[in-house]
Amino acid sequence: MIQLSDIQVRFSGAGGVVEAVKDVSLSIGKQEVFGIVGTSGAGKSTLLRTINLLERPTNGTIRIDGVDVTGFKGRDLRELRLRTGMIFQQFNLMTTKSVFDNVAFALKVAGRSKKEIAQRVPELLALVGLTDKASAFPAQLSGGQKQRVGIARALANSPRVLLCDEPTSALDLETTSSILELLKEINRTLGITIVIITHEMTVVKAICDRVAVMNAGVIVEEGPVFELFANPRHEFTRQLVARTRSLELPPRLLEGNGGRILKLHYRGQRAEEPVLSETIRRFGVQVNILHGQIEYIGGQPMGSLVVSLDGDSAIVGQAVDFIESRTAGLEVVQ
Amino acid sequence: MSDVMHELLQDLLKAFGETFEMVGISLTLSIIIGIPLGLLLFVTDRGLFLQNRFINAIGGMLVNIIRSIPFVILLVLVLPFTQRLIGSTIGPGAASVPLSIAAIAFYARLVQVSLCEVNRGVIEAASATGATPLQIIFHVLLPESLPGLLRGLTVTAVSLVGYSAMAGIVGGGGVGDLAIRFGYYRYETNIMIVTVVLLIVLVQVVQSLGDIAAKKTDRN
Repeated sequence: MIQLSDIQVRFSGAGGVVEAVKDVSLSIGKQEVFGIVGTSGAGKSTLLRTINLLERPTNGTIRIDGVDVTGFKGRDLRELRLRTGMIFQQFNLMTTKSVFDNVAFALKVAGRSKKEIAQRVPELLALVGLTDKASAFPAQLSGGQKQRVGIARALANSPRVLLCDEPTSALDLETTSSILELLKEINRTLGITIVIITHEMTVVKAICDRVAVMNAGVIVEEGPVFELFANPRHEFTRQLVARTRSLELPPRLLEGNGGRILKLHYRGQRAEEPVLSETIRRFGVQVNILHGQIEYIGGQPMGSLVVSLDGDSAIVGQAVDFIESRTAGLEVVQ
Repeated sequence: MSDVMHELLQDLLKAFGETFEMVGISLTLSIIIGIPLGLLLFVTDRGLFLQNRFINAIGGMLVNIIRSIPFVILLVLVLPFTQRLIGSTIGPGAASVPLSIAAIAFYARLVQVSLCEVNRGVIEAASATGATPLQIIFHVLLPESLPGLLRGLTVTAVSLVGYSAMAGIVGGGGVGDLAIRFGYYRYETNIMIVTVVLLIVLVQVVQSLGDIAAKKTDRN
């Protein structure tokens, strides 16, 4: 539904020309939750802003539902923006207006009547769970509540797309997951396509269907979220993924252990097979789990376990071969 | 004695009336012209939704020129213009011309500064909802900067009370003029002290009213 082709954004500033986005092409499907992830300064925010033309690309075209919107101006541009909601890291609410009026602003912009506004705003506030805060001012709200107001404002004119610019980066963990749940629910129940940029892999895991990894203005890798975590191809992606999953053992464990220590990787369907208990039964070795992490991304399991195997060294060798044939990967740590 | 007191009271009342007239006219004009001028300077600035370097540079230069002329000189400099506009160069009405010119330029800068303090993200969010430049100005910029606009207006009003004293030089009248005429030229120190105290009270009242209004509109 959104097609970005060869998007390039250059800024000319005091320090010369900066190429924030270099020839990026992306295709985002209808009702998809699409993530763009990368470190700060990677150009992902600039890229996101080209979708509603807050940032005009120096080169390239943006198509939404097949329509080339790149050159939109005036009325066309405003109509495009009415149908494209956006939320921000710092919420960007008007401090002198109540929650009600902040949401009402978006409807006023669309030329709705007072009566329509009086009816629609409470619906929106109910959707984001802020019915009782209509007359509060932003300064009286918590970060999560402010973002909910931002979401209500963004959804006011029933957009097709919701652009999210680091929507949870100013929030604590618990609030982050409640906001992500709300976004997911909006995606499912209202069928709105969501494009979310973030530097947090946990956000990607939690709600994205597909993800693009951006580094220094370039998309280095793109694919379904599970694929990206399971088989990161680009070095930069590997670093990002590795950061979310550290299985460091305390040195004490390595020193005091006489047996073999293995790191096993699970991925997809096979992660659900009882490999370890079968190893114990077949080979009679002792298995001790030292460390581990299994998570479900898009309903598919993946994870790693660090185990020690104890027993006769020949048998342990056979057990290692057996495990290797039944898991997605195996590293001998010691 | 009572005759002298009576006369003084008459003079004071008249002088206050003239001061209010001059400050009132100039303040009204700085709202009517200074706010749009400040808005123009702000929205045509780099990176904003009506970016226009030419208009921004011209507007900025105009404001700077007026602001760099010492008020006493401005008073004299605009005399021909005042004559054509009002038909006279004497009296509070005539003095209001240079006062207004100075106040408009002064307030326009203060308006621009207040607008700069509006969070750019909020302006961007308004653009992202599809708001027109006018909608952004009236529903976002002005309401969001209202506390700052009121504080700036207070500063302008207080400065105007001071400037209006100088207007006495061209026969503008007012409280400051009274203080200079009686206190300085006639060595009637008592009268000067009375007028100065009254001026202090006037400035205090203006400042307090401005502070209250600004605080009331500030939701942070």
